[in-house]
Order: sequence, then C-alpha cells, then structure tokens
Amino acid sequence: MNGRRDLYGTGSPTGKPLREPIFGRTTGDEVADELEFHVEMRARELEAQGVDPALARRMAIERFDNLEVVAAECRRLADRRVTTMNRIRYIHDFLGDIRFAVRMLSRRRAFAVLAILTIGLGIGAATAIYSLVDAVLLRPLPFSDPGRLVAVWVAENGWKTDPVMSRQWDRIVLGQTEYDALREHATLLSEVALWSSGSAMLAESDGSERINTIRATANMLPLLRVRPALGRGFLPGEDVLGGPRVAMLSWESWQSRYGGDSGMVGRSITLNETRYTVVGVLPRGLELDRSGAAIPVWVPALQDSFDIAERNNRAYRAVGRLVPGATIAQANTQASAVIGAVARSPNSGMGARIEDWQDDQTRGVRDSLLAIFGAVGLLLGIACVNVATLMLAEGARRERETAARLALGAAPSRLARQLLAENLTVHLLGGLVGVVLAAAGIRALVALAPPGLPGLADVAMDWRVLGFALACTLVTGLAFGLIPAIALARRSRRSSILLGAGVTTKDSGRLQRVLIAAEVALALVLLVGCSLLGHSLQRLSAVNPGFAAENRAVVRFASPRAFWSDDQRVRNFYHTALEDLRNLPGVIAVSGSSATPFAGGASSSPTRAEGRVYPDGERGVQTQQRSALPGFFEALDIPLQAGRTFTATDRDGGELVVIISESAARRDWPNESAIGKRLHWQGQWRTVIGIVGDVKFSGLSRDDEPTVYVPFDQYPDSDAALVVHVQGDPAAMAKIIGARIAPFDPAVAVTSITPMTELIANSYKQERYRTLLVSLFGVLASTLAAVGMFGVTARMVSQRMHEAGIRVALGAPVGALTRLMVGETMRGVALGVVMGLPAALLVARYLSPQLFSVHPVDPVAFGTALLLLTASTLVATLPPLSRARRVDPARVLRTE
Amino acid sequence: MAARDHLRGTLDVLVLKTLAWGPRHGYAIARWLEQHSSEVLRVEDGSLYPALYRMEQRGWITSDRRASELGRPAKFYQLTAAGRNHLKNETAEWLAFSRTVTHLLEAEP
Repeated sequence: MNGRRDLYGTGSPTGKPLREPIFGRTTGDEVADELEFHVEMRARELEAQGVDPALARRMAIERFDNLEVVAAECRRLADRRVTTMNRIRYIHDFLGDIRFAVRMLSRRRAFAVLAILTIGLGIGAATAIYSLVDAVLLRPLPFSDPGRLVAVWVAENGWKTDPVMSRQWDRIVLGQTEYDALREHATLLSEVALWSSGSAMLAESDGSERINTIRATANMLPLLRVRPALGRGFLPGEDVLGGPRVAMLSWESWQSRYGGDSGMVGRSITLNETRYTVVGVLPRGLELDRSGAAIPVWVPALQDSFDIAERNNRAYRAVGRLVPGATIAQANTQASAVIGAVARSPNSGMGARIEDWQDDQTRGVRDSLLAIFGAVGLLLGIACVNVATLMLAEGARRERETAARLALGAAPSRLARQLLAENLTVHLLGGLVGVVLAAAGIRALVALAPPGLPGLADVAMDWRVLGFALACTLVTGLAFGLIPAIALARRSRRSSILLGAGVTTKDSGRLQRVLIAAEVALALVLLVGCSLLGHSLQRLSAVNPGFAAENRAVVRFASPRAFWSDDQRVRNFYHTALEDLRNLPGVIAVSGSSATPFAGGASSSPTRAEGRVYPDGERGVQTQQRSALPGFFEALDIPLQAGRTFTATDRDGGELVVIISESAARRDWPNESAIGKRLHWQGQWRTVIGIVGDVKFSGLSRDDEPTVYVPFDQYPDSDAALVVHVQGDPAAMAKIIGARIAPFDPAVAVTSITPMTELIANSYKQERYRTLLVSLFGVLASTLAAVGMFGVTARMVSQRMHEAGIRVALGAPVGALTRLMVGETMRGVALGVVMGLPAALLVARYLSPQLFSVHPVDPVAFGTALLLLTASTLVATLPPLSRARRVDPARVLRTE
Repeated sequence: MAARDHLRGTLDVLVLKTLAWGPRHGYAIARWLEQHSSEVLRVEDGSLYPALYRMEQRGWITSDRRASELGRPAKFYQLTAAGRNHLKNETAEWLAFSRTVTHLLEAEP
C-alpha cells in the first residue's frame, strides 16, 4: 500500500482529509483506487500481448504522462464535489427539519396556535409601530442630499426664562433683515430660503373656498434642488415688495381642481379678490411642512409692506443648505454671530439656532414615538420569552419521546436542531401572522393619530417595514429558539438514559426561575412606564383651565383683506353677530376675543408698568394680549378678582382701559393693588380697571402667562373667535349658529364651530395617543406575562408531582412541599423585581420630560405597577400551585 | 484557452457517447475511445479522469461501485438525464458544424 500512497499523493490538497460521505472513505482513496484499477487493467492487457509484467506496469503508468499531477487534479475536483454535496445535503436536511416541525406542530395544534399567535402579536405590534417611527423619524426627506438641509431659527437667549416667551425662545421666525444678513454673511449656508404658511380665499366658479397657501422666496426650489413639473418657479425679483402677483399650483391641486390642464400656466386665479397669474406647477408630493394639511397654492414671499416696514416684523420660517464639509455646529456659530450683529439692541442675546431639518420637524414627537417604540419592544420581548417557556413546557411533555429517541441512538445535536427548526417555524409563522396584524394595526394607528404628526401620510406597509418584520422574526426566532434547544442538548447529555417521567434537574429549575424573572422584569418596566404616563395624563386632563368649558361652542371665521383692513366693518360684523345670537333661543351668553382659549390666534407684545424700570431699555416685558368683546369674562366664567369687567362705555374714543390677568398683576405690581395704575401697551398708556383669573390658552400643561385684555372696540381684531354659551349640547347648536351668522357679511366665512371641551381635549391628543398605545401594550404584555408564568408554574408542578407523590407516600407533609414550590416561584418573581426595578427607574428618568406634574419616581405609579404585577402573578401561579396540594401518592406511584 | 476549451468539450461529448450504451468504468471508456478513434484522435489517459470528475460535478454523469473484471469493485459511470440531454444537443451541433465545413471544403469555385 505504501507504494501506492507515493504514486497518487496523500490526502486532500487542503491538508485535512475530506470524507466521502457514502463509503466513508477519503476522496484520496477513491481517486487512488480508480487510477490503480486503470493501471492494472492496462498492464494486464499489455501482458496479454507478451510484454514483461514490470515493463507493462511502467508503460501503463507512463501513458498518464504524470500520474501524480492527474491524481491531484482529480482529488481537487472530487473534493469540490463533496463540498457542494454537503452544502446541498445541509439545506435538504434543514428543509426536512422544517417539514418535520410542521408535522409536529400540526399534531399539537393548541400549542402551535398559542405560540404562533403570541409571536404574531409581538411582531405585529412592533412592526406597526416601526412603520410609524420609520415614516416620521427615520426615512430621509425626499430631497436631494437631505442630510444637509437645515432649519434656521432666530433664538433669543433672554427669553429662556420669560413666562410668556420661554416656549419659543429658540423657535423665533425670521424677517427680511435676518434673511438678507444670512444670505450675505452666513457663508457656511450655501443658500437660505424663507417660507410661511397661511391661508387665502380662492375664488371658484361656484363661490369661494378657504385654502392653505405657502409664501416662499424664489430660491426655495433651487435650494431643495427640485424643478417645477410644469412652467417655472418664482424668479428673483418676484419675491420683493410690490412684486408681480404670480402663483404656483401644487401638483395635487393642479390635478384635482384643474384636471391636470397643461394650459393652466399663463392663466390666472383669484386669491383674496386679487388676480394671480399661474406661472408653474410644483412637482408631485412636494411638502415643506409634513405635519400640515395639503397646500394647493404657493405665492412669492416678501411682497407685503408688513415684511419690510419694521425691522421687528418676523413672519417666516427658514430652511438652509449647508455647504459641503460644514457641520451644523459651525453653521450655528456663524449664523448666531450674523443674527446678533443685526439685532436691534446689540446686547439682547439674540442669535440663531440651526438644526437638521427633519429633526427640527419631528422635535415635538420624537420622544413620544420612541417611548411607544420602547413599550412595543418590551411587549415583543415578553412574547418571545413566553414562546420559549411554551417550548420548554412542550419539551417537558415530550420528555419520554425524547428520551426514547436518545436511547435509540439519535444524536442530541440532531434533536436540538430539530427543536430549533420547530421554534424557527413557529417564529416564521408568527411573523406572517404579525405582518397581517400589522397591516390592520397600521390603519388603526393612522386613523387614531393626533393631527400634526409629520410624515403621517407616508405611514404604510412597504419594503422597509416588511424588512423590519423579517429581521425581527429571524433575530427573535434564532435567539429564543436557541434557549430550548440548548436546554435539550444539555439535559440529554446528563440524563439520556432516564426513561421515566419527570426528569428534574437543578438546571431546569434554574431555567424556570430565570424565565419567570425575565417576564416579571419586562412586565414591571412596562407597567411602571404605563402608570407614570397614565398618571401624568390624568393630572393633565384634571387641570382647571381657569374658565368654564362645558356647553360652550367656539365659532371661528376667515375673512379677506378687504374685510380686515376696515376696522369699522369688523366692529359692525362682531356686534351684529353678538346682538343676533344673544336672542337665539337656547343661547345664554355670546362673546369672543382675538384669541379665545384653545382656538388659536395668540399674540404678545411688550408692556411696561408705569414707574418701573426695565432692563431691556424702554421696551418692557412680553405680555400676552387679547381684544375682548363685551361680556367675554362672563361668557367663559372667568373669575373677576378685583375691579370691573368691560362695559358698553369702553368703546372706541372712550377712556383707554385694560384688564390684566392675575399673573400680570403679580408680576407688575407685586406689593400693591393694580387697579387704577397705568400700563403702557402698543404705544399707549391704559388704566387698569380689573384683574381676572389666569386661563390656560393653548395647553393645559403650560404655566400661567401674564395677559392683558383690551376692549375689542378700542383695538378691533378681524380674527376674533366667538364663544357661545348654550343650554344643552353645543354641537347640536352649531348648524343653527352657522346659518344665523352667514348673512351678516358676505366676505366672512365660518370655518368651524366646535365645542370648547373638544378643543381642550384636542390640545393633549398627542399625550393621549401615546398613553393609549403604551397602556395597550402594557395590558397585552402583562396578560402575556401572566399566561407565561402560568405555563412555567404549571410545568414545574407537573414535573414535581411525581417527586411530591413519593415524598408524601414516605410521610412528608403535603404543606411543606407546596411551600417549597411556592417559595421557588416567589424566588423567581423576586429576582424579576430586583432586575426590573433598576430598569424601571432608568425608564422613568427617560420619561420624566414627558411627564406632567408627576415625579419620575412617583410612589403611586411604582406602587400601582407592583400591585398589578403581584396580582397577575398570584392569578397566574396560584391555580397550578394549589393543584400540588391535591397530590395523590397512590396515583403517582401507580404510574411508576 | 478557447481552443483548449473546445477540445475539452469534444472529449466530454465523446465520453458521454461511450456511456450512451450503459455504465462503464474509466478504463473501458478509454479502451472504447482508442478502438473507435483509429489512432487519429488519441485520448490521453491523463485527461480522461479529470474530465470524468468534472462531468460528475456538473451532474452529467453519476458513479457507483460495481464488481469488475479484476474481481474487486471499481467505479462505474453512468449518464444522467441531464448528461443525455447535453449529449444530444452537442451531437446535433457538431453534426451541423461538420456538415457545413465539409460542404465548404468540397465546394467547386
């Protein structure tokens, strides 16, 4: 044999012998055999022709030229074939495992359905929430190089602590002055464009309609690197004072209103009774503000005298594009210096804030979304742990079968692989169910979503979302599928000869405890989050807004310039409306103001109390301002603290009077009565005649804001909203009220009539949405956790029944054994609480900015969570544990 | 390279042809080729076996071990359905090619 080895070379070229799988011989042997056979046959033939045997063999070998090289080449080819075959066989085996798994699962239908539904619930919820997170936070904006688009705001550091302005200190809009300065000097921004949204009356063949509009500078489209779908964009020179009246249509409005007529370019439309020439159509789907409604028409910015008349008028949001290589921080520093240099008072602390455009848009919702995403992650975790416990329990039920197969020579690794395949199958089927659930869930999520969620329109089941579902399925399937598989492999190594029922080892006891602990810990974190958010929402909704909201309807209007530039016309309209509605049966009171609570329209300006010195030169302090119609405080039941409210004598040309809110009185005259004092506002001195309670204006969570009220007649405002106090349901009165108001002035359109309670509820819709989702996941998760704990405990008891029976038969008291099992379960629960509490504290800290008047370590919230958890633990574990008490030694021993 | 590929391709087809009548071992294939190619087309023993291994990997032929003339098992090759198909296609192509060439070479001006 030695000679042959030399002849044909040894082993495989890679050095390690590969096994020929069928014959159990190496490929080297196979090749050597075959070639040797050939040589022998050839030599024999030559011998038959009379050649000397030794020579015949040499001749036979020589015919190969170089036998060793040929053998090596053959071995290489054979090895490659074996590798390919192994690979194919592996896949084939795995498919076989899956087929086997499906067969096993279909035989244990209840178990399979439970496991698949659990996983499906987890994956479905996670996928649905991911679709939201993806559309709102992750998917890049649909512009070229979106990472370099930034939002540009003016920031006023002095406002950080101001009660009126603190919420918007770094979100101040820009005016022409800042715009010009930034374009000139902020070299790290290759371009800055302005835009603002508003509304206008669009005249149509059948009357007119209120539409949303955007005013944008001519450089907006070039900055975004988009081209008009039709016609042209605005030209430099059109976005200036008195520029030509031109307009662009959105693609969508071009399609729906004008039937996609390409002849629209060059035609004119009438906005606010002014003719605008349509110069182009915007590309499809272009949105500057993803949180708003559709914007059918764009017009050029900076055309109004308002924009340049005074340096202080700021009305525009701004978007910029970073030059390549510049960071946001660098651009921020530069722009701050530029804005600071053009600020009216050089020491005002004015600067700029630049932030990634997408981040800026999602600023208000990011934390909420991530909290919801975190909650759904915990739910998915619990679902996976649950299925792992189900698998273990199932494994325990199959213990006899497993032991038998091991005894018959099945490799533990093979059984483990089968179990893994079974788990993966469950997870894959669960993922499938999850995708179906998610598709339905996404629809519900979108329908329930609070208004103004940026990107909500893009939430859909797409490839990114499906990819997430698949990734989730595979990761959880592999991670959690391995647990029971490893448990099986370990168990079988120790006790493969134990054919009897109830194989218990210390090991499986520990695994049970860990699983119980994991469920408890995950559920605890989620429940703490739930109860903190729930508690916060409850506190928020219980806040007294400072006025009576029940039975009040809020009527809002829209009007064109011709109306609101004529003060007398505005006065007439509102007085007629008040007079008329007051006489309507069922109406108790009617009034209104330039900024009715929760109806929008807030504005502020500086005020000065007489005799006080203000740090900011002569300007004074920012104060909220309202023009109130007669009877405003009475109609809303806003308490009068001192002095009097407005009467019919407080009219245009009368004494200039003002009513201030309690917080304004406290701020301006902390140690004396404010009544009779004088206040400087909008260039005039006014006498304080009354002090009223503070009211929440736009959010229940906001601090009291110092406010001044002036008589409507002395300072008319065309955008005033009416408040109608009615008997009974305000929604039912809406139609009648609308019909009454319509004829008073043909230019004024009623845009909405809404119950005040609804407006208030809408103000915390986002908080409610978040709390609703997190609570839903919390309920689902604790239910799943309870089911899981039930499963684990039941399994433990059924395993121990055998042991218990023997012990009882030998005279051990039943109670001691039960106590042992209860103790074991409680050790798992305690471990879970110990693991879960620190995590819950971390989560609470993370949530704290989102909580309203609830401390993150709120004892009530933590107590509620622990109580709920304890209750569900007891409900889940007591029934199986009590079964242990009824152990019947005779029956146990019979099965022996 | 192209020429060698072509030669290798030819050898492949010839080997497949020898297997068209039933299983044979490597030596029988070599002998059949020697006897029928009348020394014009000499197949090296050294190139036959790599060709067999290559075709086995491609799935054109399979092998098993059967009793041989020497009394011990030897590796026998057999055509697969894919191999039979390949042989058919290659044969048709070769015949068409050679007919054309023959036609051209025998052509009168």
